Amino acid sequence: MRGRRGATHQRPWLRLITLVGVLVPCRLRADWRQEWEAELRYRETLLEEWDRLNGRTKLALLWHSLGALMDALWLQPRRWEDEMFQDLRYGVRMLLKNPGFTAVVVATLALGIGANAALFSVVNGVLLNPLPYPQPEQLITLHQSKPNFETGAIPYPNFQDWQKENQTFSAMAISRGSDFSLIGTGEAERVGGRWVSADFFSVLGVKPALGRSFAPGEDERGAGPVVLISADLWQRKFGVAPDVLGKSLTLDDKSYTIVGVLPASFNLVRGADVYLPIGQWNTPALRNRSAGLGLHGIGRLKPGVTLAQAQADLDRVMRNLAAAYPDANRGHGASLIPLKERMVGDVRLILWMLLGAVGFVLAVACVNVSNLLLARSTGRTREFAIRAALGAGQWRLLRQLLTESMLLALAGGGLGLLLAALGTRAALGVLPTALPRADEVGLDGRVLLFTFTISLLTGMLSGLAPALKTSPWRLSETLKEGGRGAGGGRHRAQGVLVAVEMALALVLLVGAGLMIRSLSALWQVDPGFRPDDVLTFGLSFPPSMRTASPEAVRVALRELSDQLNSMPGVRAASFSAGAAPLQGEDDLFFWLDGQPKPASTSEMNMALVYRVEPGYLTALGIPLKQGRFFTNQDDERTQPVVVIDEVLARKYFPHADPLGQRIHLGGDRDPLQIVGVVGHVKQWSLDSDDKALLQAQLYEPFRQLSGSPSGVGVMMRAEGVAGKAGAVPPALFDSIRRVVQSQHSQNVIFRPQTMNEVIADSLTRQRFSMILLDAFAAVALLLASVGLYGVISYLVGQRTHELGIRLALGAQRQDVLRLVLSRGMKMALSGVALGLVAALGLTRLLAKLLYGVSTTDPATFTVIALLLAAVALLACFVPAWRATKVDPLVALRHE
Amino acid sequence: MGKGYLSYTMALMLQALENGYRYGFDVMTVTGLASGTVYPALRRLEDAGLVLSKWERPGVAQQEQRPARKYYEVTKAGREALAEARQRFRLLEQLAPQSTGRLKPAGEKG
Repeated sequence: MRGRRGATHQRPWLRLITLVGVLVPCRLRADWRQEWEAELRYRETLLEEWDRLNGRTKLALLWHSLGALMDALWLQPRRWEDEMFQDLRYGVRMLLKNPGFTAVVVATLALGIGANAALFSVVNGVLLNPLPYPQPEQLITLHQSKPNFETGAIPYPNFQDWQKENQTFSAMAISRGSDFSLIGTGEAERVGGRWVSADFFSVLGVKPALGRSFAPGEDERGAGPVVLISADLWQRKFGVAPDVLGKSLTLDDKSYTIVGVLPASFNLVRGADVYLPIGQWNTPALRNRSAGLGLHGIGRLKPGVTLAQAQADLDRVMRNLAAAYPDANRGHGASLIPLKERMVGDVRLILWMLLGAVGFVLAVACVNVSNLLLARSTGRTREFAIRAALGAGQWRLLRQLLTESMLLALAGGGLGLLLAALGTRAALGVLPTALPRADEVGLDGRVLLFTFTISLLTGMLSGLAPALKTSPWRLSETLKEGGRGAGGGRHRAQGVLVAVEMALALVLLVGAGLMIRSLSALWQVDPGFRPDDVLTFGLSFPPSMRTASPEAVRVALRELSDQLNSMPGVRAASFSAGAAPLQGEDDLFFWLDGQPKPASTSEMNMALVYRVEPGYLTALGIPLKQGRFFTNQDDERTQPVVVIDEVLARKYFPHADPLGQRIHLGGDRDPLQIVGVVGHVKQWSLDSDDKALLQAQLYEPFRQLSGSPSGVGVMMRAEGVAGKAGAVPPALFDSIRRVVQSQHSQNVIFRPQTMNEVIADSLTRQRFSMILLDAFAAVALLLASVGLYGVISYLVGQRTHELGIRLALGAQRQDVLRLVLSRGMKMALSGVALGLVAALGLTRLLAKLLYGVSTTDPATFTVIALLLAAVALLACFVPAWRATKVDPLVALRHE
Repeated sequence: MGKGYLSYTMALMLQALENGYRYGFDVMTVTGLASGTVYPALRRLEDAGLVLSKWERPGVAQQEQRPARKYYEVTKAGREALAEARQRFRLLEQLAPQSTGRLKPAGEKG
């Protein structure tokens, strides 16, 4: 036995085991060898005992030992697991050894990845996710296009014909927003609501959370008054009581039976709490083919029908209608826009632009981390040289470095996701109206996958440069040189990375700069009125007003107006119906006196109409250009008059004095005489009003109107209303409420806003993108300057020895300062140059988002380049100053 | 593998272990499977928790003047999997008879 054991090395099968054993992962190797040796030796012993150890059985033993090869190969995956585990453990240890370094890197990455995750979750929620309805791609919004207006409202009789005659929609519904006074459940309250046709919810595929939806025919005139309420109102007013069905709700002057509650997730209409069948809307205009009334449709395409087919179908229906009712429909068409496009079309460009910008932030973070890792790997050259000398392959070392950068990236990604989750909510909370579908934004699987992927990519990219710089031939030199070699290439790489970082930051800064310029240009646009000290609010009257005599209504309105005007501090106040600047639109048709009445409305002239009181001009601060504005004497007993704006005057009276001219508004009304011309007011928005098709404006005296309004807007100029961006002071609002309710306790005032708030709201999207772009640019600037500072400090540290020699040989302090500064500024300025070129190409993508500033605005480019150069100089100066303080003696001893 | 059905080879090996053939050599001999099949299969069974391995106490091996063996033992989960496999492979039990003692190396293949 002993002899046999001694001869182990002669036995080829045992030698094979030793050989194959190399393949087995270290952790298992001893065990593995012992098991196989036991196997083969036992087999050999048995064969010997039976005296059958001949050539054939020896071959068989060899064959068996080959099985060990299979076994060893089968164990290979464990080797990977093992080494990965080792790398991970080692990586974690190394990262924990330098907590400061690790914290800086993780924070940098968290910032970059977090910003990307946050913005991607917005893009995902708003643009990528399908709308929360069944087969959302079949949902199309319907509008009637008019000569002045691509997406105009659809007169109700027209809609009914569309519904009957189309062949491409499985169903079609119509709706219109409206406010109601909710009376009877506590204090009278203004709630948002919507008139809808019966199949509004079935077209969308929305089922009530409780109760039922409207039944067919329930939207006809004379049907029983029923209402569907929002989940929010259900909670607010009924405490989620299940017996809410069958209860009644008094809206304006009518009582409605609640038949259903909508699910909380239904958010198509922001702020709508009640949905009423359109047949309950008691207005004769509903039967008028020329009255749009703000009704817009929604339809569901039949399966397989394309948008173009549907368009052709409705074009055909519209042609028939134009032939049948030429005076109302000639020149009008059908306009179809997919629901999702209608909802998010405006923000698509902005969001993709922002996602691109935030990608730059991540790139800067990535480069920064790459630089930090590079500097650190220089410090670890000896460690790697020793590992290489002990037999670690290049691949293994590379993997170690990549493992570490992956660990950092994943930690950054995790933290970033946390930041994103908190930050997104906060950001959307600041500007809640900036985005459609904002409440659908959240972290879902796709966002997690995106974050994970960019984290991995970030880890890989930021780890790559330092990993590739750590190659074995450099390492052996390092050992020979005692740790100071292998620097040149690395410094060059750092220089390139810093330049890239600077360039990326510059592109972002230029983008942000252009947005700031654009927004300040917008703020500087003259809206045509003086918004400071102006406030506006809605005022709704009690139902009793509607049944009162016209004379009583006039008296009540006049009394209220006088009371508002005589409030202390109020300079002027005016009721306002019809259009309101930057808030609501209303228009009318007219033709000039002396011309024949046009055959159809599409041949008439169109103007925005403002129905206001004498105080309006002062309240808003609109300049009077010619003639006079209304006075208290312009009332129902005097000659009907109008005031026009300068655009209307120029367009329709280019060569004549408009004063004294008369216009017709149709119906059975007398012609109205133009008594004044006022300045043009921006109606649509500060940036696009000049390009709007409909700009002409016409003012009618409120006191010459007949009828009893259910509510009006109020414009008021008062002292003490805050200037830019301030909200309406609560004390002022309270005193207004007291005045209004002293006349009738059921008068409700709502939606108070300063005119500056109205302007700010009209710029929400621009502000939203500017704020984000600024934030991104600031982060990029911070990261890039920290990166530059880090690299220069590091270089100074590395060259202490050399600087010491220079100083010892007689170099002046300022020579050293110049040397270090020039080194840093060379990197920074090449980055700036590179960035300027890139920015020139990239800002073109911003063209559609900018106002009043060119995408290559020289001022912005110059200022940003100088700013970046200045920041870079500062970042270099600190370490350069430190370099001049080098003591030659200390430096020379510094080995 | 823990959840899926056992393959015939795995079931056969498990049955052999269950019948008292407790280490690689015996299993190989009684089943006629090649060493390159048996050892990886044993590791797989162990990974799946169907068998447990244990080194023989060195004293025993020394007494018998041979290297220590690694013994395999069927676990509870292994027995359940085996019971299931017996339903499908009816001849299984007969193919690996109860161990009665020392086995002769099987007819060696060339």
